[in-house]
Amino acid sequence: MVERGRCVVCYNFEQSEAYRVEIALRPLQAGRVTALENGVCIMIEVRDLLKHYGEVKAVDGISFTAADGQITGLLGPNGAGKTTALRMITGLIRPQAGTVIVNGHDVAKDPQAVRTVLGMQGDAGGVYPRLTPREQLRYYGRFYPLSAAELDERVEAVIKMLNMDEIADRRAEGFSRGQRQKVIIGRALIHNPPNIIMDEPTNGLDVMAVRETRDTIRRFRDQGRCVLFSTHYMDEAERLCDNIAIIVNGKITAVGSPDTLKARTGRDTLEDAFVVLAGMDITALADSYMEA
Amino acid sequence: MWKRMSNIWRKELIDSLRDRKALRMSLMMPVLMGIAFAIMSAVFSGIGSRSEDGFELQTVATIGHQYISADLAAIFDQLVIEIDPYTGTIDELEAAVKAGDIELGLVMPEQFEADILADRPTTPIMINNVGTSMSDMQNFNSRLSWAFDQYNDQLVAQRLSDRGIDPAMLTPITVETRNTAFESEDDIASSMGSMMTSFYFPMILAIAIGAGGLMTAIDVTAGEKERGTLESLLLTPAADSEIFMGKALAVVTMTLIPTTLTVLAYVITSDYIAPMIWEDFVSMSITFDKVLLTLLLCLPFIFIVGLMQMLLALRTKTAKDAQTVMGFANLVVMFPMMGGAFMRPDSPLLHLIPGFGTASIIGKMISGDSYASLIPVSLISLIVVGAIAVLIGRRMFNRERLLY
Repeated sequence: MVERGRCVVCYNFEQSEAYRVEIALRPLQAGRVTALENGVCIMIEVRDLLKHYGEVKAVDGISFTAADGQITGLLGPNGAGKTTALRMITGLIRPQAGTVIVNGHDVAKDPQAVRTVLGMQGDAGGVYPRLTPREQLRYYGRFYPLSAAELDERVEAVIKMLNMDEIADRRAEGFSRGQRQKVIIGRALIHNPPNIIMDEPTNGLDVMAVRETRDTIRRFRDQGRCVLFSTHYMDEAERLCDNIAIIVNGKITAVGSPDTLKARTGRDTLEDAFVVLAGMDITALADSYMEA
Repeated sequence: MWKRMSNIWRKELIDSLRDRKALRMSLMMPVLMGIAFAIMSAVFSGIGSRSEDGFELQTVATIGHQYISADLAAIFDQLVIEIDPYTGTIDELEAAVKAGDIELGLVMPEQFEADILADRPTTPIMINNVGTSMSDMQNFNSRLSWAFDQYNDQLVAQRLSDRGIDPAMLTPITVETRNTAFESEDDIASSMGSMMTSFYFPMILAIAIGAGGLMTAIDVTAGEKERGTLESLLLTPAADSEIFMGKALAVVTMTLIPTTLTVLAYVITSDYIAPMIWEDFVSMSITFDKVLLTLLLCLPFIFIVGLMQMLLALRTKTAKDAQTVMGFANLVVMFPMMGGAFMRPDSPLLHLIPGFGTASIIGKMISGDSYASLIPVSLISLIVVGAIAVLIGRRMFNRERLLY
């Protein structure tokens, strides 16, 4: 189990009110704290992130935060820059400008430290077909500073958490997409990270697998983790997210809870609110769905 | 650092050993190739056809067998050549030899003995068809020619003696050759085999090195990209260099295993199994220290080849693309090694070429030529090229480049 408030801010917040005041006044410092917003700890902070590929502005100066114990959704149509943004947050891609702070670590300066405090279920989503899920979990676990006993414990905990008992010792060759997804999520969780990043986790899954994945995401939040995930499904974002950052053409066009976004636009559904906030017409949105 | 590298190395090995396709290429092929080449080198060198007495009985269809002198017949007996009287014409004998019905024909002139007694030149005719059964015919031809040469020498000596001249006067200089590559006279019998082995041995090593770790090199790079597992691996705290070196070590290991198996299969077949099956099989006597030295000499080249295969596969997007590229890339391994195996020059300069030097040194070692002074030259070159390959690899193994 991940304790809430793993980061320095939350820990000290619980210890001293005076410290909270001091932190609120202090400029952001790498390696210490990220920020404190409305009494919750901001685990991931993205500031003015920029990535252009020639003329293509994949990510064009985006800023948003993701808090501890909350699900934050990066909502946008295909090609909006979601995957590029998530890859920059994890340090897979170097941004041309901007900063990403995770648990107080600057990704540009200390990417390895960042990788120890986050787990990512990536867009590519592959498994090793000739290894069993248990072997894959152990393989990934050995990259982190875990003792043999701790690793055994973590492997069992992840298998139990994701209901993988039946498939744990079968080679992954021939696994269904849902089973593969469990292995991928399991690998991201093996070191018990306080932050989980998921790139379109329900893409291509059947109904039951989608439900199971969504339940898992909720469970992560309940465990006190900071969950940041990208999606282009409006209903999914509405059901799961505490906060949403809408991204279109590499820019963040709105940030807020689903209710806030609906209220701001005066629409009843998130989908309608999205269309207004994204500045898209309904045809473009339909095209985006068709592509997906 | 070592913990993460060894984690990747171990995982890639397990993964490769469970891959049937890779396993076939890495284990079965080298063993079969080693056995096949060991037998081939013996057969082509002709040493496998020797009888217990030295030669297998050979029959010569002969027109005019009655004209063979007693002295010549004695030499034929000594060289295990049997004279089979032939009753047809010369044209018929030629046709039968050409058709392969008769291996070798001989026509003895009617005045053979009379000419010899009268100190006149005489000309027997030997009819062969060398193109049909290469090693046996060459062996047999040379034996019949050798019989006549011996008889010639005998007659010349006799005639000189009759005239009061010491036959030794005709050969004022006699060079005695002592080959230090062989420990005994018996070893010299297998010199032809050693010569063939010195060529075949580097050749099978070239094939084993080129093909042994190929599937692993593709699987750990292009395969991982294609499966979509590379991204999650890059998200671990392992540094790019740790991932690269861990994978490279796995490729080297998966190349070293088949190379070792090839060498062992060759040596065991040649020195132990074949002599048990064929009594007349003369073994190559490749000693354990030569096997060990061969593998040590190959190791740096294996490392370079593994890195090259990985780097090429990294540039491709799918395993299939990588396999296509590798087909051509393996020529880079084969050509220098073939050149080294064929040429085996004494010039140290040519031994700077990776692969060429390795094959040449191994060839020299097997054939008994001196090679020790060439090892440092070849090793220095391999270390420099290997270091350059590591630098290029680390530069190419960049997270952002790998993802796009």
